[in-house]
Amino acid sequence: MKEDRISQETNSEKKKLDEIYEDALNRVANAIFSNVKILIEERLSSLEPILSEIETIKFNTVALSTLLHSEGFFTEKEFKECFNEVVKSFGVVDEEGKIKGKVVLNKYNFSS
Amino acid sequence: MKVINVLQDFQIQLGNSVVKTLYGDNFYIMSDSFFQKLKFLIPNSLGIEIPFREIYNQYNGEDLSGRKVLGLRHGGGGDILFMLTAFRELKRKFPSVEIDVAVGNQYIPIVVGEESVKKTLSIPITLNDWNEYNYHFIFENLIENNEKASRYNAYDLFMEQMKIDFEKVSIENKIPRITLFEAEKNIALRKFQFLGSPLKKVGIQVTASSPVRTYPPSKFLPVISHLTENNYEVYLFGSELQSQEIEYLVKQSNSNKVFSIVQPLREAIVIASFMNYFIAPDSMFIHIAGAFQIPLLGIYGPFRSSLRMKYFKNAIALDVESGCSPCFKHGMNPCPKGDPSPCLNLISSEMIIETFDKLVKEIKS
Repeated sequence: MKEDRISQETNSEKKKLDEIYEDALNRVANAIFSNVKILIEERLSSLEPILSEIETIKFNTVALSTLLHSEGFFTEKEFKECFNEVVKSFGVVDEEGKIKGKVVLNKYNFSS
Repeated sequence: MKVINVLQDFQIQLGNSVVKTLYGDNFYIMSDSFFQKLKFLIPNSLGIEIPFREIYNQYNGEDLSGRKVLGLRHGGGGDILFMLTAFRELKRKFPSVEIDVAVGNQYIPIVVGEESVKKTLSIPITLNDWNEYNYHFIFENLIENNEKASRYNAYDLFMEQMKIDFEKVSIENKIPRITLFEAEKNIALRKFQFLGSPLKKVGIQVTASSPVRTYPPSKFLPVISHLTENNYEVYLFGSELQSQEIEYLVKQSNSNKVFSIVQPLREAIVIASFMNYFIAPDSMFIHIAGAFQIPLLGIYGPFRSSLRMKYFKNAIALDVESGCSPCFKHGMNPCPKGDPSPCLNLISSEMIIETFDKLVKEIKS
């Protein structure tokens, strides 16, 4: 009986802790995403028309990676890899990460 | 543009470290960005504002014989040359017109010696000065917020703003000019004795004024190596702000044929006139090289080279055509799709080397 009571109390404690933890996580997540929104507006405002076309997951990836990079969670290399993923979706780079496009040579007014 | 009453004397540092005094109890004509700066620095010393349209005598094609006009453009260097080239044409059309210009203080060295201009003022200017003119030509935002700027060559665009039928203007008269004095050249030769060497000289503008138009500086290293190995001297041009990149390239090149030219603008222009070739991104030295008719190679991504280089002699440009280029982006921010701009990243060092060799071959043939 005694063991059951302890077990129940422990479970109850655990549940309570889980709730607190979940609540904390939600708060952190909300804080992050409100910061992310500010970051998006501040740093990437010119991208808005493009960003709106990107799936949510990618939207969050770039925003989150920007935030985490600025907070020192990502290395420069990791950040660039993450950013390149999103850049791919802009149509600037191909699947291999190479920039799409061609270089054209133009000549002006050569005296013959 | 803003017209603001400054209430008290105030000294402000301008772009090239020159300190300018704004005198109290005067109205000054200034750019919106300069006004924002003043609002931050002396919020309590600013009085009332007069709507700009009330003081602006816009030119609509009237006869300018014997009239006095003012052209205003803060910068950058290329834009000042667009304006001066158009004013030369205006002077041909109306030989008795008196032309003054108002520019950012750091760009006055470009105007020095310009025969079509009588007086050069430094922005901001007083309302008293402003009122001396029959007409005002404002070129602020002519490139930045103008759809035509993505279709018209900049030299044409500035002429059109002056109601000049640019299609009737000869190509020769659309090439900018910079007047140098013999004495300046002699002083430069004495001060920078390496300019007297018999080797061919290649000038490189290392970065553009805006990050969005800047070619990755480190990609110039193989180009510099190629040039020095082929017995060229290489002169790296830039402002104080770019001195770190330039010093890095000089050090990495490990050659006594590579020189850093981080000098006051007028001196840098004089040195540029000694170059046999020039390589530059879409920025000021493209136009300085164009003015001296130095064979040049332009590196273009966000803008088309034809919008800037179309009238230059012996010029080659590398343009990028990608999903987003040309995008006609302005301002001091990097490209939102990557820094350095992805389009400029498409141009490899090898392409520049190959194109430069082609340019030399074309000139020799």
